[in-house]
Amino acid sequence: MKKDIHQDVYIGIACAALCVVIFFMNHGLPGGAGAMPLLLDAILAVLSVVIFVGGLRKSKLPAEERKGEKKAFTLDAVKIPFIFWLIVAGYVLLFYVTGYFVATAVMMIVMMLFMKRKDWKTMLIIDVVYLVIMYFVFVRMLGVNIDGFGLLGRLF
Amino acid sequence: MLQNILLGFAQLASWDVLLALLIGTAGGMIVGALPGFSAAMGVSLLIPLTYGMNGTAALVMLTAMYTSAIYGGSITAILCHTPGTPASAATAIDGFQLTKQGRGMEAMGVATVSSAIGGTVSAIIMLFVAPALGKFSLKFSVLEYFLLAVFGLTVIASLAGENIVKGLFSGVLGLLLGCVGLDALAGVPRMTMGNINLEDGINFVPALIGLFSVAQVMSLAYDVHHGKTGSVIEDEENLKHSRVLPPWKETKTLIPSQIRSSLVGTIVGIVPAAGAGVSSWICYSLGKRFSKHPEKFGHGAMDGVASCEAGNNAATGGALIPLITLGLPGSSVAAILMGGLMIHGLTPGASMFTKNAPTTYGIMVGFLIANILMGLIGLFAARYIARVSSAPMGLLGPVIVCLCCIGTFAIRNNMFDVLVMLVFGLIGFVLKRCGFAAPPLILGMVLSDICENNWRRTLILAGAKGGLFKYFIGRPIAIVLFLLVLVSFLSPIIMNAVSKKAKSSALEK
Amino acid sequence: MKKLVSLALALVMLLALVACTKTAEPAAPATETKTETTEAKTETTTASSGDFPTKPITLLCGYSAGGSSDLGCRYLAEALREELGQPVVVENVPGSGSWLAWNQLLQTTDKDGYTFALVNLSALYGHYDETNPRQYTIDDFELLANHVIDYQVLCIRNDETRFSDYASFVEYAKNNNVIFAAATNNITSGDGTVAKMLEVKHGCQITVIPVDGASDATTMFLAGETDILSANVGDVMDAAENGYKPIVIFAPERSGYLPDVPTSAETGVDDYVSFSARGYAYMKGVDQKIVDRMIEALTKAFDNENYKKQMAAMGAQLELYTGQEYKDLLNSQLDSRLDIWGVAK
Repeated sequence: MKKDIHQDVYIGIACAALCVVIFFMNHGLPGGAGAMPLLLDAILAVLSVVIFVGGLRKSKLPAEERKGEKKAFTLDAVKIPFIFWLIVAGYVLLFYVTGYFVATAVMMIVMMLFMKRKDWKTMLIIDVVYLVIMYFVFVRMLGVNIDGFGLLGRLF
Repeated sequence: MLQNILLGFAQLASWDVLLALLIGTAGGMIVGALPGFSAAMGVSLLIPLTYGMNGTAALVMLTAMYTSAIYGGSITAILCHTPGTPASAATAIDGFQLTKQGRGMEAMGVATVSSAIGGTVSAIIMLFVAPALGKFSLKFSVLEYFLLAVFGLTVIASLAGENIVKGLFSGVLGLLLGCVGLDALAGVPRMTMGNINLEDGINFVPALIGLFSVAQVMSLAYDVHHGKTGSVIEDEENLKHSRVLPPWKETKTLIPSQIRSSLVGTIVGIVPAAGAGVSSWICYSLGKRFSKHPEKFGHGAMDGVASCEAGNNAATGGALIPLITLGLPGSSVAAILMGGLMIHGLTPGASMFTKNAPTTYGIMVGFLIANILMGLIGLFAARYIARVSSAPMGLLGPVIVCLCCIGTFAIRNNMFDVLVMLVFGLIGFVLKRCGFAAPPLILGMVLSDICENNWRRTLILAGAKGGLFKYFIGRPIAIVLFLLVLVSFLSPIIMNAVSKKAKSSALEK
Repeated sequence: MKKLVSLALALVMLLALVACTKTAEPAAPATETKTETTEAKTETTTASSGDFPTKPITLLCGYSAGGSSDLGCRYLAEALREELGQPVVVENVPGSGSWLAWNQLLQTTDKDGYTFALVNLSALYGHYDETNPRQYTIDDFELLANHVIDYQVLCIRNDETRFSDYASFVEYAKNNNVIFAAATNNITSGDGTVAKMLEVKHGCQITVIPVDGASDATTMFLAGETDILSANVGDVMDAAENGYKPIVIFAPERSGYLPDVPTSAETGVDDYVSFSARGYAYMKGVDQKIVDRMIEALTKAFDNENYKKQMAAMGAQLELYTGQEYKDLLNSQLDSRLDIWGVAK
């Protein structure tokens, strides 16, 4: 029987790795500035070990007790949300190129398509109404300079 | 004093003040509800616009916006699990579960009534006791702020969800993330990686929006691709019997929570730096502790919604008290409101109750009415607003994302904050998958600076005054707070031990 | 359909809000944002200053809306609009003690004269801050004109028994530890420098508690936690009502707002002068004709009656410095601070 390592083991290791990174970022800071981060880091290190040990213990449990286990990073669970995140990241980066309004006009539709919508009329209406409201409220009324950068920055 | 209150009412008897009240209340609800837009943002963007209005009208509008934005946040927190303001993050936990059960409208009704109660109680306290309370808040200094922050931290355990260890990890990680930035006492950059945008720390509003809203839409995307193409509501059955408030039998059980949260919330609000957000977590945790069914918390406890919402709105009134009486803001939004006061020539402090008394009382009465009005508008509109939750996820999700982007940017005209939001969206998703609860992370981030800075200041101050112990003993409020912290920290442990003993002795019998 | 109804409701609300604000003071800024004509880094100069300005101008303020710096900017924007004939829009870019705004001005903004910024002495000190040195110095800015000088004062509570004026305070502090609150404890802080000066020049024993801002310092002072308050004139306008009083002003002459408060020189203790100065600047590289036009407009705007009244209500003392005088003014404070902190230039 293949030994099924509970994911908490890996999670514990990842947490410990994080603790090491934090340690290097904070040691040697002058003026007592590093004290609190290092203290917190120590607590995190202890907790990481607890998680790791807990994972080891759970690995040794017989199969029936482990039935309800949810796996954290199956391809299925991660793929779609991550792709969506990439789309949002792309949207944000698009601000720098085309400005908020053009980026939103395009990407809102893209996101809706990704979310499997096919009702074009509703999608376009929402897109346009949203842009109009945002423009009036933010740029005209409140002076928020969101469209101030990017090649096609200023719409009006 | 009574005649001052009447004077205050008289101030409201003019069209521009009444209109300002209405716009502030209704506008605040909208601002609060929209994910990405927080109360702080709404108020700070509104201030320059009021420049030109009469002082009473302007401040009535701003304070009305404050309280109803804090309420408004609950709308999207409940319906879409995307808290419209940081103060509603706790409401999202149980509120969204209720929406999934098809009871979203009832949850909104409860949130509305609770918010109105919380705000009104704090408004009444403010109206009658403000000057005296002002002096009370002067007694709070660095040691008291520290102890209060620690008390807030003890609440983390009750928010940890199923895995206490991982919940604690989240909380401590949150505290660490709160340390990012220029050290307040030594001016040394910590974990900023040379980026100037991080010098003031990770702005927790974008972090919260990322953790809750962006991560939520990511998981909506997952749902959509696995066949759930409708709305977030899972249990359509309940929709047929939708009502704005739960039946009286259930609603009346919520009253003790609402009153307790209102009082606690007002006090937390009075303490500087602890505002609606911290108050909501503390009241949520207290609600769970005093509840007859604590196991329901996290899975759709109406009591959870009632406690947070009463707590966060009560804190708004509470925060205004030291602001008006001393110029010491009780919360970060109150700090922004201070600018609003100054723009209209009102200097917080003694003069508010002497030469500016009519205006001041006008503002306080306006605030009271705003809370009541907010409750009425909310109840009336709940039916229609709740329909949002029936919208298809595929349409709602992208709109939420776009709103979050512009709202996050608007906080300080800085694209970096939008990037922070993006990063935290990913973090939120990873945390959820690995079983780490998100609320402790946020609480840790919010409380980190208050905790650390005030502790270090206490050491300096006490050092100059003869030592920590001597300093501590001479401060009764600090002693009380310390005991509260001990009780809060130990009580779950003790209760656990007590119930284990009870169980084992019952078994023996 | 339902979505449209709720969206329409939202739209109506928002339009009501817009309508309301339009009926308010017409000075509410109509916002036009600057156009990106070419890539940000190229130096573009507009042809003739006679046409300047032909579109709205942006004023970058490195502090949040509602603060005293922001208010000063908005009052100026109103007065300047009358001079230039184009709206002046205040854009708040808070963070890092105004450095986010200054970095934006110096790094990514076009040098076409349509964006300028509020500058204060922090722009000067940033370079010398040991914990976090900034790459820019005052020479990277094209100083236009200064409008506010806010001198520092020391205050004591009305019921203070241990000392009653500057001289007796300094004497007391030589032998007893005194607690003092300041925003930060290094060269960039005016209050921190006062504490350092007292230590270095008079041998006082001072414990400094770093706090987040003037209002925190005032609260600690009122609560009795600190022994003395260091603040600016603008911050202590209502001192009497709150139970405290200034005992010395670090200025060459008495302030019109505090006529009874002696200057440091008058007390005979020292002649320390310390102030915060708020003025305006472009980045270097803007066409000289535009710079001159701007200085001219600012000078006239500072004379605007309305503007002067609004600034007086904030307790801001208005002194005009332009060009080289402005630079000398700032450098005098810089040298003074470098001397106290023992930092080389």
